[in-house]
Amino acid sequence: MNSPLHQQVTESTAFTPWLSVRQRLQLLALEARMDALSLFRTPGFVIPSLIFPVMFYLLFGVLFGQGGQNVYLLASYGCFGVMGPALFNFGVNVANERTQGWLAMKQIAPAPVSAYIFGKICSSLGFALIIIVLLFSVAAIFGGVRLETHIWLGLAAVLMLGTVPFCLFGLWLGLTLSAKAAPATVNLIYLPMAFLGGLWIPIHLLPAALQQFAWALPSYHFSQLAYQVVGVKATATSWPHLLAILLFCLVMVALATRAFRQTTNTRQ
Amino acid sequence: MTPSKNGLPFWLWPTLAVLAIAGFFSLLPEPELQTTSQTEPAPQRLGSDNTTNSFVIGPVEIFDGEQFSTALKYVEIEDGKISRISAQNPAPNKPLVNTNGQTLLPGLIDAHVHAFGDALTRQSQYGVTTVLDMFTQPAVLQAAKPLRSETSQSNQADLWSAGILATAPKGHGTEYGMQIPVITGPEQALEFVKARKAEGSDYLKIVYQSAKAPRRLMPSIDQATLIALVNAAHAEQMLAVVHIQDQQSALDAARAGADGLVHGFFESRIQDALLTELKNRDIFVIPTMAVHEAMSRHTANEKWLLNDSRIALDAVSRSNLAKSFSQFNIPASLYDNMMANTAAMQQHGIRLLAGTDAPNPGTAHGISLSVELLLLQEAGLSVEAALRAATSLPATEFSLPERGFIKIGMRADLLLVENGHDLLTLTRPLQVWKNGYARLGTEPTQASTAKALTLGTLADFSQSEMPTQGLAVSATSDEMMHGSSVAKLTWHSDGYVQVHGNLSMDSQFPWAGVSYLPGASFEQGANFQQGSSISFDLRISATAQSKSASATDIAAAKTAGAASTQIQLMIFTNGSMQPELRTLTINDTWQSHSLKLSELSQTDTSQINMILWSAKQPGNFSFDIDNIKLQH
Repeated sequence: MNSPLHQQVTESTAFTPWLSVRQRLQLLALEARMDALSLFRTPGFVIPSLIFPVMFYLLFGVLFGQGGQNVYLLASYGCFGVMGPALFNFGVNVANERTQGWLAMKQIAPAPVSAYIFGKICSSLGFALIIIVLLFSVAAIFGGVRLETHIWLGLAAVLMLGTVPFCLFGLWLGLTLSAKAAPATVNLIYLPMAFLGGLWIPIHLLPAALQQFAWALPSYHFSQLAYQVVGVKATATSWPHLLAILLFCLVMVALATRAFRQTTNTRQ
Repeated sequence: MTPSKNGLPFWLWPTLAVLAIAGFFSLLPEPELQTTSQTEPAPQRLGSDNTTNSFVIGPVEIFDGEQFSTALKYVEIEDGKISRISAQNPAPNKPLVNTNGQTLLPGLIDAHVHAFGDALTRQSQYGVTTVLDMFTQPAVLQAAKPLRSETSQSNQADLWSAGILATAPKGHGTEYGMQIPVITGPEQALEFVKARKAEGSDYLKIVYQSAKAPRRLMPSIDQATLIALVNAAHAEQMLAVVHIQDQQSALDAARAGADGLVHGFFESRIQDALLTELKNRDIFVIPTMAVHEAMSRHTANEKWLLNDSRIALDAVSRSNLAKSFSQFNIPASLYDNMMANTAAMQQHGIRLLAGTDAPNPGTAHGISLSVELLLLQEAGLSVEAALRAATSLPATEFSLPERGFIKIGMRADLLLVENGHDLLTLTRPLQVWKNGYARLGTEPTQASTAKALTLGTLADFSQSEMPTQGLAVSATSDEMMHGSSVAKLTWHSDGYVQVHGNLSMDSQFPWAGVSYLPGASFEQGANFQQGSSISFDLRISATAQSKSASATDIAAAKTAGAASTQIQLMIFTNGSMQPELRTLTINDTWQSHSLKLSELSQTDTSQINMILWSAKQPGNFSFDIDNIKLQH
């Protein structure tokens, strides 16, 4: 870090320091690395997040599966698997760090707050990738799943991108919930949302009223997009689901921004 | 390149991560090939030049129909016939199919098939270039006959056929929907055989079951008629071959002087009396292991074909091979008798010919002959004996000219496989030549010719009973197969079709109802894969709306007390004799029924020939049908 920071400081706006592209990248990489490190040093997060989707898939997709469900369940539990880290890493950890004052620390530090969010998104995506690699390996080795390479890649891409709305959802929760309430509340949202979105058992086995309700859940639209990629049990078109997810993202961005302003205001 | 603190370039880790992920995804397994229409799976397609039927192939090991050659040789083909066989390339200026020690076999002969539809094209795909049909329509036989002496380019196997078989009224052979002449007594024998000869039959096939046989399912001609038929065939210079299913019938057939038996049997172990008769009278036997194996043990197709991704199998073959005669509940252990009987006949020096009985359930045209040979080998035949059973032996027994051998002057119907000593390699021919023209890898793809239906209405009957897509909606009943059921259609101007008639149970496969032909013709069928389900509305006809059926008929249609009845739905797919069945319950209000295509396990949904709704309960019936649709 030998850039002439002092020369440029006058030209930069208010509190954000001027940084070269290289420096910005390094900053972002550092944030991502540190957040990932803290994530991996929390076994209470790592173990259930990795084990549950794989265990569910082994139980329902491989052991009790009657064949033909393997691909479908891979998509389902893939969605379920990547949703978890996104919600918890943001929901619980942001609530914790906010309560402990780490968020305030970040805000006064000479680095943009967006780097903090970016770091968390990166670590969540990294975690999602690990889950995807684990699930795909189990599906290929034990579940006998055979897909063309572009479909494997497509499913992985949908699963990775699909974590973003849940990151935003988690961010909003983390900014509003207290550190004590966060784990329980996130669980109370995560598990029913997965179930009612059809990620545990096929949506058409649920009562008709619940099937209608599923349309209100991002998990439902997420899984439908995943099914579309692998070409099983998909509804006719993907754009309503894509639209629903985008809408959900916008709402979450708005809510998170408001919540962020409120936390900042209360502190001032 | 700026080194970071630990001396490694900063881009190293991201690059490694990307490489690792790329590596992971490239390791994830891809699906096995399901149909031939996707891509041509064969890794090695030798000599796929089909513009000439004059070339040289070599150096190859030759199975000449009787034995393997001791040295590698070159075979020269001139105008579709084998012209020279030598140790050196005899004609360096001819196109050379350059091999290095693979095995060249005479085109195979399946000695027991039933050829209709696209059977002959399917057969030749697997190197079966000649088939002996054991019952088909005279028209099929007459169309195929002139092609046998041609040397022009062809994708079809050549056909020899019994034409119409000789059976008793309502005997085996009458249940398939063809109206055929039958025979009731010995005095009709000569006239019957002469009629077959006039139709072009190459030999006579007789269906016989002894009165003393343990399980008599269908009527049979008596022993006197059997003897008379055999004598009549011999008087007309025709071979007489007999369909039998048990030891006693086999013995009767042998004593009647039959030339061959077209089935083995597994109801009992073969006894010395029969072995001696077969041997002394020089009678050949076509044990048809493949179809018996599918009836009983039913593991061979799974073991040798269905799980091997290197074998090109289309959906029809695949579904046919997976089928069994499960309705007969034949114990798997009976197949041990089959193997023991075949082994005993082989040891007694009785000539065994390879025949599959395709396309019966559990067999598929062409590919099943490999299974037949593997099963013969399993029963104790040597590889050479098994190969003779599908080449020189049938050619000799049935006097097939220019076939069954690799010799000078023979027709260049040839099969090239990786290693002829391993019969499994027959399932993956490297190349097939028919009349000297390369058969494989020369056509674009074997894509189904069936027209794809578009989503939405198939038939809504708003203007007439004609469907919106497809050929026709028409009344159908077992009348065409000697049954006495009747069915009629009435179109109603409110936009539906009423199906009424009477179902009588006096034939083997009774039906009466309405059929929908979705393709441009029955044979072509239609592709339903644009959608995921078929739906249609059904109800029991209301009394008021019925013009032709009386009130008592309607009352009869509703079973006592209950206002509902059952409809038998049958879906017919290309290349298969058995429809897929579903039972539907209907009542007197319109109800929509939906059928998921993915749940049709025995149907090739890319080629559905016919959908048929039949009454299920005997007696008068009247039901209405409307809004046949292909849904998402």
